Amino acid sequence: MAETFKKYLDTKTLAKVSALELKARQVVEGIVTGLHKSPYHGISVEFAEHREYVPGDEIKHIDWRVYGRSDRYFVKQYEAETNMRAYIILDTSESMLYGSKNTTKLEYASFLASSLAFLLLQQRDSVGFIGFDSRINSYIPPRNNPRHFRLILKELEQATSGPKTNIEEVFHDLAERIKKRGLVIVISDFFYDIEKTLLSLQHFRHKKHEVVVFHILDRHEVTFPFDEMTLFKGYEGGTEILTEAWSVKNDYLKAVESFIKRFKTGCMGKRVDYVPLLTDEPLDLKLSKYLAARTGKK
Amino acid sequence: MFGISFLNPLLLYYALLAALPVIIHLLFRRRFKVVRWAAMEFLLASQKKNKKLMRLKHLLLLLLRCLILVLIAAALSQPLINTPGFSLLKGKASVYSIIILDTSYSMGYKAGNTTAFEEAKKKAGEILGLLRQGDSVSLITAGWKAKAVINEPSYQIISAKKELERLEVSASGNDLQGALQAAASLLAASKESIKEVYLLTDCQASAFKEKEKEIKRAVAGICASANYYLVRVDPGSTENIAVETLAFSRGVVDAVLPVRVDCRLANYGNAESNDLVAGLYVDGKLRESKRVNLKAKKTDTVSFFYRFNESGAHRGYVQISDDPLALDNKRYFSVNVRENIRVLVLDGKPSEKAFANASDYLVSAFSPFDQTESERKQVIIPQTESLYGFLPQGLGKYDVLILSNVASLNANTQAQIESFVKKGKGLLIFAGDLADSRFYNDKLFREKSGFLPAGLNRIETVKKEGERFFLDKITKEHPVLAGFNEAQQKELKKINFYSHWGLAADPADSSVSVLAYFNDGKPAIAGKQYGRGEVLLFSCGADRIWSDLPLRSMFLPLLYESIYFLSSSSEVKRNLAVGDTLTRLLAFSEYSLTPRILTPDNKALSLRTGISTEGKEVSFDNTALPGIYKMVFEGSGVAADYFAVNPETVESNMEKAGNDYLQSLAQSEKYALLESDTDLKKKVMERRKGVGIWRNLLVLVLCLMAAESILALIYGKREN
Repeated sequence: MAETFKKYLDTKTLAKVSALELKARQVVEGIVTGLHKSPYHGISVEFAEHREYVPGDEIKHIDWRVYGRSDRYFVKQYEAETNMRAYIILDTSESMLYGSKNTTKLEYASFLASSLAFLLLQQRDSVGFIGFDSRINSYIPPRNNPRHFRLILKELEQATSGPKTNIEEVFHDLAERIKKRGLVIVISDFFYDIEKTLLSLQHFRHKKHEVVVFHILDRHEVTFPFDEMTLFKGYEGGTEILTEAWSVKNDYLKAVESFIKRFKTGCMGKRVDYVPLLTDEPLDLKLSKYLAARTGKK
Repeated sequence: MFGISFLNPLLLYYALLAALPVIIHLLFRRRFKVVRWAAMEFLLASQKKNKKLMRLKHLLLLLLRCLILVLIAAALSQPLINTPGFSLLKGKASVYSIIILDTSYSMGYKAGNTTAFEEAKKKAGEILGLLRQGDSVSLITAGWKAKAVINEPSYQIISAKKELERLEVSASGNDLQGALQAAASLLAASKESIKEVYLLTDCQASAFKEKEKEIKRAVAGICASANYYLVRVDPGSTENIAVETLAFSRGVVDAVLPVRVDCRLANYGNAESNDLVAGLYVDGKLRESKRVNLKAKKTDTVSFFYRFNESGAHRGYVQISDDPLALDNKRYFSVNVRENIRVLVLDGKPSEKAFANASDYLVSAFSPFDQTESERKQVIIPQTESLYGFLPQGLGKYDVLILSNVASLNANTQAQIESFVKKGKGLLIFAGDLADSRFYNDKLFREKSGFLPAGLNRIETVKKEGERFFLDKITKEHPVLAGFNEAQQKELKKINFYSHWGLAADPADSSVSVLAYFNDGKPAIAGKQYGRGEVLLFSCGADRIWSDLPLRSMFLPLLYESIYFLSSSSEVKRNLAVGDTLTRLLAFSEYSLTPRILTPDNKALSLRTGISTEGKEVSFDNTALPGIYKMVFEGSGVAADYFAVNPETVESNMEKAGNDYLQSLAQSEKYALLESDTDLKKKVMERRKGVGIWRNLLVLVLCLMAAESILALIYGKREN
């Protein structure tokens, strides 16, 4: 297992992963701890592992024997104790490769995914990861093992973008595949048919999942700051448009605005949390804001 | 037909710059930024929506920009819109210009330092300057008579300029009609595609109004095939005073009695002339001068009395103070002062008794003075002959022959008298009771072809005692009666006539004139010009049986005026108008001589010799200059003769024809009046090629540029 791990992590990848992890930690530290509590209390007594005590853990779960031996606080983890299963579904289609500055939408989405994974694992929730474009490219079932985080990171790092998004098919497939209800986190630019997207999200809701969508867009995609003759080369399908950017700007912005509005309204109508994110926005702030709002809501 | 041509056609190549916007557009489309883009769905929708509109906007802007450049190029090449036809579009159409220069003496009117004529020459020079290689020109002068200085179209423009430089203002009147007709004829023979006629004149009203119809017709002919320009060279003032006429009070001037010289002065201007000085110069010396006040637009007659001390040829002139038109300030005369007038009275009814025959009253009338005292003073020297002792061969030494109550003449005498009259002598006939009407009618009247002014019908006599005939109607215009004033005419009407011959005069005959009519409507005195001489026929005898005329105070003036009139016909015509032919019949003794003429500019020229029915005569045509022409018989004892040549005074009235009037003479779009301040070149070139529209184009360009800016602002980046 260790061999395989090393095989898929070259030094550069490793550096990136560690940097990502670090980033994720920076994002999560001081924000999540104590905020999230699993709504489900564990009923299983099957010991799974020890983990270090973090403020917020119940005192009764401290293993005093381990404390006696090591003079450190550890709490016992049981298999059944992690009641929430979170599925992070990341869109890795080509359109996610767009980034007007240094960060592409996919990178930003990856930061978000890793942060959320870290956050959830910190809370001892199980986190699964699904990468998709026109189909499901990677699937990591939910686990609450901290080592599971590395697996997700590796998957994130190695995620390759496929040609076209097929949200409809993938989501319906996933909705059928995920048996236990949990938290479904979808990270995508959602450049797909709104109605079909909403319908497929509805499928998750129908399966009693709580759904959160992180709508990742680039700043340029919502401001369209072009004013000259420009050849726009599409990611998905190779479409090209040579146009005077200023001439289409107004209509484009209207279309984007309408798209966001419709999608947001649709999500809200289906009780899906809608979190818009622009890639140049500080993730920690946005995330903490959302999480705070979410906590307050509960 | 509509046409367009260009003054600078080469600049039209700038229109190729219209391709610039297209090239820039294409280059602009090739220079673009490449952006990888994810949200293509929205971009596609937006572009689909805007594509057609954008293309339309682009096309509109592109067209505007191209059009602006094309119009700028068009404006630079100075396009001209014309209508004459396609020949102009070729750009190489040759021009035939006919320049008519008014050389009448009114053109010599001075305005400042120059004259209207100089101004006209300058303008003509400008016109010649508009001609290029391959163009042709004709030059016509419109002084009397019109003359084509360059008749056939000349391609030698430089020669034409030299010819123009040589032209001088004449002393004659104008002949606009003739000049315009000549131009129309030249045009008809020309094959050039662009024809132009320029009439350069001071537009004197009289010049046009005198021959209005003819001028109108000639101009219509010109406008049918050519552009007609009336170039007005108006000195701007109409102030002018002229010596209009000069006349002696008698037809014959003698060295005995003073003669009245009547000089009519005319002020054609709008300002009254005070202290105008008129001087009479005779034989080079000022004899008398007078001050005259002459109101505006009025005429006045100034009279000088002068007695010539010597018989023979004399010359002189009347001169007034200087004014802008110098030529009419002087009027010349030439006069042959007679020593006497020799009159032969042929008495058809001689009588021994005093005043029993008709001639007694006549002879006593001619010799009113004491015989001894009158030797020196008597002008008319009468001689009475009875018809029976008359030798017709000796008739040549008399000036006037009087036939008094002559019944008839033999054929020889009749022929001699006829020849006498033809040569310019005078014949006075008193038809008395002996007159054989059949002879008079058959031999002397000859159905109007004889020298008798009227036929004799029958003797009209008053019906009863106390009745009378009297002169009812007097023709004042006839030289015999012109000198009679109102009172004298009344006196003439008081003369009682008891009987008279009924004269049959034909008023339609231009050579016949009736001087007076009786109250019964029949002619009392009839006259006829026959050959060079004159004949007067009194319808009654010159004695008391016919009338109380011999006893009346008017008898002498009537008789003297008749004799003066009749004797004047033998005078050589010494006072001529500019352009007239000077003619003098030579005396037999002068036949071997070769006279020469000294012109006013002191050139000695030869005369033309010819033979007429009356004998050998000499003539001279070139009387273009006003002044005294002296005829000299070099190397002989024959005294010099003088001829006076004067201009027509119609040119002195400087009143100008108005533009509307001139327009009415040329109702054609090809007519254009060019004033002194008109840009001749611009006007002619426009009409030669068309109307310049480059200013309009530039305005259009500015408008289009403004439109382009606004549209670019709306469509373009600035929108954002």
